[in-house]
Amino acid sequence: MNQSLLLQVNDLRVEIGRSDRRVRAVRGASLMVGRGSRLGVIGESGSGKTMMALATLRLLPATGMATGGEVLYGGRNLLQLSEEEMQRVRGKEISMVFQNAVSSLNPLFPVGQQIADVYRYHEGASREEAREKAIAMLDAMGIPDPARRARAYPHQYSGGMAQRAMIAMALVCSPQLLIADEPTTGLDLTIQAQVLDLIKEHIQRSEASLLLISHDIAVVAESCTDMAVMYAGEVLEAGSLEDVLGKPSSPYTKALLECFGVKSDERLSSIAGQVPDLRSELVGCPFASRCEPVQDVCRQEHPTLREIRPKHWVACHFA
Amino acid sequence: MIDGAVPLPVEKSGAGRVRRAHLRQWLLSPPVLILSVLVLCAIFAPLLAPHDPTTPVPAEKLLPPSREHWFGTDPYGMDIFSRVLYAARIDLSVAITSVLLGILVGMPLGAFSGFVRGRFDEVMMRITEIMQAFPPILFAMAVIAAAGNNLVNLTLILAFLNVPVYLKMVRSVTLPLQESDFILAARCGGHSTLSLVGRHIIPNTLVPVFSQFSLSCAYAVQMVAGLSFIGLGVRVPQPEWGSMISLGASFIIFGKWWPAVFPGLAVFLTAYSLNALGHRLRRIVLRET
Repeated sequence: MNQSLLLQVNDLRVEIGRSDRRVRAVRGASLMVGRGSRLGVIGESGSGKTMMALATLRLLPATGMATGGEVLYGGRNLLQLSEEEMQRVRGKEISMVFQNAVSSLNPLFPVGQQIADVYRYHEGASREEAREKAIAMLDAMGIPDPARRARAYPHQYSGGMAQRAMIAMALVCSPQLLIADEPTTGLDLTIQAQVLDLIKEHIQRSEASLLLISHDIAVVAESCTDMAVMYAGEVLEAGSLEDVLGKPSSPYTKALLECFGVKSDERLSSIAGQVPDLRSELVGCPFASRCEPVQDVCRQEHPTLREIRPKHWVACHFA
Repeated sequence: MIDGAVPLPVEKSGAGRVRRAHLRQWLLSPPVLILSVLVLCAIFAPLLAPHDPTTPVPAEKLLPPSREHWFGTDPYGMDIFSRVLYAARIDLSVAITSVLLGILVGMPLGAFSGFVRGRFDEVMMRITEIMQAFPPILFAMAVIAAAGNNLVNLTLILAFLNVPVYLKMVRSVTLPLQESDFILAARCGGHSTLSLVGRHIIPNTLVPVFSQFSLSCAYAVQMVAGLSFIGLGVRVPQPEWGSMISLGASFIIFGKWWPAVFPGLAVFLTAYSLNALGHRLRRIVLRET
């Protein structure tokens, strides 16, 4: 395995829902996160970004299950670890922050204590050490008067502050990889930039990696080095930020960039048609029904990810 | 100053004043006052009781209430006022102990059941259904008959009857919590199932448990008195409200009302105030959530 790779997701498949209406949320997604790199995963709602991330940490909802593929982290397949081993990975090796920061904190306990808990659990620190560490982390996240804020309860935090606290909790054990699932979606635009900068800065400083999930290309362009585009549970294009944004090679990526107005100065466009029904088995390319230059082969044969130029992968018959 | 930080509450704020006014209103409400008096009576029974509660005086049988015997005397010549005071000790302590035991067992089982779901949950639910399908009085009579007629057995029976109540309640509160964001976030931090349930789920179920506690105690007091009335658990001369009522019941038709009415009044007041308190607490819980 490549030494510079930290996380490699290979052909991951996730199904959720009861047996009578199973949804194939992730249908053979593959991506790689290099050491020290920051990968942004872009996709519409329901494209399986979040499910892929949750499957990586084995935190799928009760009705969900990873039915195939592998998640390689440091040479180990995370999907095959025992629950105890997984508990040592979560928070220590790989951390995750979510969109709803305020509700991600237990309303009954002071914020500082919740950060300290994670530190004590993984590092075996004393109560006092952990408390100081929590305050130091809050301070590093730019929270004013951190000692007092550490004693405050989640309802006394604003959305932006709560997200800072969540990031502090995620980074308290200096994990190798931070998964951030839409970390700024619920925040004001001005705070969005602050929080993104904060994440970027801390990831860079600790030489860790970032897997940032977003539906906003601007957010990814702002804070990542690499980018992957997901559609209907598959990765359609992946590569460095410059390659994917500069030389988009999948028709879906092109269409997506047009929607964001990156390519054209004209009025906002949209992609005609709808995301395919993920309950049924898909034949051919998942984007075939909405693709402009679609050919017969697209409806019959499933395209696999090919490396069209070094470090730039595209799943399209005509790329 | 960074993004719209909510100022931390300052001491002596308006909210604090409102809270104190609320507290005063609470402490002066009839159920709380009655309960305080009852609990004080139970604690200081030896100081307050004018006579020994278990010494029969054959010459003073069935005396009506007087300055010497405030509540009169019973068919054995024991002072009813003293007995009512001492009985509060037994009735309240059996009721509270049994409910606490029920919570001690039911709460963790319910939290686990709701949290891990699956087969464990199925088994727990079927067991509670079986437990609750049994008529409580019949169940108590059967156990007492088999295991012996004493207070410990009575407490255990009542605790057993409380287990399914709290198991189901805590489970129902756990179900939505289990899917909440902060549980997912805590999992991401590496917490084990045990610490998730113990540190994150159970503390969040305490408020409804607390409001139910008072209602359960009211029911337990009625059960203690009710079972003792039919001769289970407590035996004369041990002072207990239910057995005192049963002792005095047959004399009511002769116009001697006091041996049954005073302990009956005690049961009524206890059950009423605990119920009223419980319903108040429940209204508050419903308003908050």
